[in-house]
Amino acid sequence: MRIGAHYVSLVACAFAMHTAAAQDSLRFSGPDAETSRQVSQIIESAAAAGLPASHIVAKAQFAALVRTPGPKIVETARAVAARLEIARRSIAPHELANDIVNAEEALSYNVTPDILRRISLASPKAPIAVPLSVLTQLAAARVPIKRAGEIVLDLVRRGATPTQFQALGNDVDSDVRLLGAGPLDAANVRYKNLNPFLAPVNPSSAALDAGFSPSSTGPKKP
Amino acid sequence: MRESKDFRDGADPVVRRTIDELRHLPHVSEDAVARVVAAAAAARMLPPADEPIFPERGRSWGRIGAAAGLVAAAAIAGFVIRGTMTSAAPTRVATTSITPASLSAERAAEPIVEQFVFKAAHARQVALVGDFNRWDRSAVPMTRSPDGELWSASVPMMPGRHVYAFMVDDSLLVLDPRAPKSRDPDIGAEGSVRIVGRP
Repeated sequence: MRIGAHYVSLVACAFAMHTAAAQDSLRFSGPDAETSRQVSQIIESAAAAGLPASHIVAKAQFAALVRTPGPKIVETARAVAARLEIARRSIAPHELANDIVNAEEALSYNVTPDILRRISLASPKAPIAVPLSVLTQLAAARVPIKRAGEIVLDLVRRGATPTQFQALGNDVDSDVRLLGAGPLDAANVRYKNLNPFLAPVNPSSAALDAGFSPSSTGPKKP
Repeated sequence: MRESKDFRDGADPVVRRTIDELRHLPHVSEDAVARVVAAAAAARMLPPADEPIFPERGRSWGRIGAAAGLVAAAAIAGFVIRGTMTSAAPTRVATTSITPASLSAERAAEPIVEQFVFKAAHARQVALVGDFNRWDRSAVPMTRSPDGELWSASVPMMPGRHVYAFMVDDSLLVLDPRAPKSRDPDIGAEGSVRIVGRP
């Protein structure tokens, strides 16, 4: 019986350690006690709502690291939590935390929930973190949001690979940053050059997208 | 019917050469032979499958207790390892593992190992910080190359967009000169950006 008691206590200890480790990953240490308390509340609420709360922790820690004032950190944490909720709704039925996080980042650069929803519907079974991350990158490079959404949506529909997505995002960024190209021009040129390597557009999926045609403002397809 | 010779009689020169080659056994390292013999001997020392692994304790309670112990030990190891990895793994998957969303995320999304290299000849220490390790400067210390100029680290990262920087000498946040950078829309600070995706 004594052996059994030992085992029970060991298992209880393991549970406690595991719980502590999980809690630790959601801990936020801010510049002052009040900021830490408020941000921790936001994190706990998000976790209780089933949102990927560690993303809020990361953002708040980044803010603290670059010496953002406490109230601004709280405001940022609150904004991220709100966007996570919108992101989750927008990309349903995608429920991967990673997809939700990348959708939230796209929202933070003013990508609309509608664009997220269309991308989600265009790829209902595969993870969409990479397309969403490139959408964010294009938006961050100041490619107009609507055009960035059209390009990414078209690439998703035509089965672009993660490598092609990555290349597009990085190429547009370097064209803008290093060559001084206009963001829209850079995006259109790089997208056009990807076209020969992609599957043809499916007319039925394009028809579902009235008012959001991938070619409405972009280059003509060959 | 055409006459065909049996290849075993060695009349065909190609077959004869092949047979000659095969007759000479390749050189086998004595160490390798010793390892194989030792492994075979060890395998023979294991009890048959129907024998108990643990020695008889006189009561069946002993066996049950030992088996329970193994199960408990496995559970402990699992929980501890999982807990440790959850807290330390530089991924951005939600750690609120009580929710269906994050559970499915942990199942379906697999991290991809990414390399980071930074040149800082005069730095005393460099750490990689980013959203994947919650900007924790102690999470991923970078390793100095033998010539002392380059610092590197390999980190498993979830697919998607990651913002990061290098923390030099525990005080200076430096962007990756080779990576795209972007300004955070909420706090206005710049970070280097890497898009991670499985090729």
